[in-house]
Amino acid sequence: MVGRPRKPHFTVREIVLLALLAALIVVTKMVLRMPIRVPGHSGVLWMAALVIGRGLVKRPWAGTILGFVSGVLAVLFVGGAEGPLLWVKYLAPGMVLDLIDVLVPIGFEDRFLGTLAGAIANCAKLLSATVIALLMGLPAGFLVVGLGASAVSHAFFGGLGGWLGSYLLRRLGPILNGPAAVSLSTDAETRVGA
Amino acid sequence: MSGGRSRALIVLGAVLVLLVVGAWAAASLLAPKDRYEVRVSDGTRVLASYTVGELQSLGAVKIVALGKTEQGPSLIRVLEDAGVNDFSRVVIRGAGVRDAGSIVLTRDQVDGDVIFDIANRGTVKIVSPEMAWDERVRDVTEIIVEGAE
Repeated sequence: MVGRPRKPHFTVREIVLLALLAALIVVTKMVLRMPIRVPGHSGVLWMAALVIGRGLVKRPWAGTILGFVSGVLAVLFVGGAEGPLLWVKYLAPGMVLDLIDVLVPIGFEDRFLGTLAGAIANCAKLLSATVIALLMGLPAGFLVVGLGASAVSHAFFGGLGGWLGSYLLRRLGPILNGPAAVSLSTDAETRVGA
Repeated sequence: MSGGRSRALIVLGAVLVLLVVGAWAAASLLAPKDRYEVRVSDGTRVLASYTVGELQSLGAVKIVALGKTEQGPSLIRVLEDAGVNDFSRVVIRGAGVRDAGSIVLTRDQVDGDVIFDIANRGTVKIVSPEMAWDERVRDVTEIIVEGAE
C-alpha cells in the first residue's frame, strides 16, 4: 500500500468538482428514471458518480462532503417519503466510501475495490433508509418485508455502479486531473495491473 | 495482486456478504411477527384482507402520476373482490408516518385509474393521475367502505 500525498485544504477546483458531481447525482435521480421496478437500481448511476468523485478528490471526508451536498440538494429539489431526513440517505454512501478509502488506501481506480465499495455503499443507502423509517415510527414488520431480496439487488446495482465508476475513473482521471496527476494515476494503474 | 490488497478486498467482500445475510436474517426473524396486510372493512366488520402477493394477483393497471409510472390493482377491482359492488365513499388509511395517513374518496372520485401501487419497500400506496403528492397515502393498511352494497 502506498501513502498518498495529503494537501492541507480543498482546492477551488476540487470543491467545484464535488459540487458538480453532487448536482449530477441529484439530476440523475430526478431525470433519469429507469423503468426497472427493482429496488436499488438507481445505485448504478449514483454509486458511479460517488466513486468518480471520491476517486478524483483524494482527500479525507471528500465522500462525506459529496454525499452531504447531494443530500441537501435532494431535500431541496427531489423530496421524498423521508422528508427532511432524506439527506441522511445520501450522506451514508459517501461516508462509507471515505471509510473504505481509509481502510483500503489503494485508490478507487482499482476495479475490484470500486465494485465492492459501490456494492457496500448502496447497501449502506438501504440501511440508512431503513433506519430513517424506523426513526419515523414505521413498524419493523413493514420495513423488513422483502429486505433480503432488496439487499441483494442493492448490492448488485451498487457493484455495477462502482465498477462503472472505477472504469470511468481510470479513463477520466488522467484527463481531469491534468498532467501533474498522470504520474500518480499511472502508478495506480501499475498497482492494479490495468 | 499484492497480499495486502487481496486481504483487504476479501475483508470488504466478507462485509458485503454479512450485510446481505444480515438483511435476510432480519427479514426472516421480524416479518412473521408483523405481517403486512390491507384490510377491507365496512366500519364494523372485516370484509377481506390481502397480502401484497394477493393484491398483485388481482391484476395490474399502469398509470402515469406526477411523471412516474405506477402500477398495481385498481381500488375498484379490490373492492369488487371483497364483495363491494357499490358504495358512497371510501376512507383509505395508512401507517401515517410519512403522510397525512388517510384520504377520503367519494364514489365519483374513484375510477379505474385510482390504484394501489406496489412500492419497492413491499407495501402499497394509493395513487391516481389526479391525486397530489401530499394527498397520497403510503403503507396502506385499511380500506373502510361507507354505504357499501
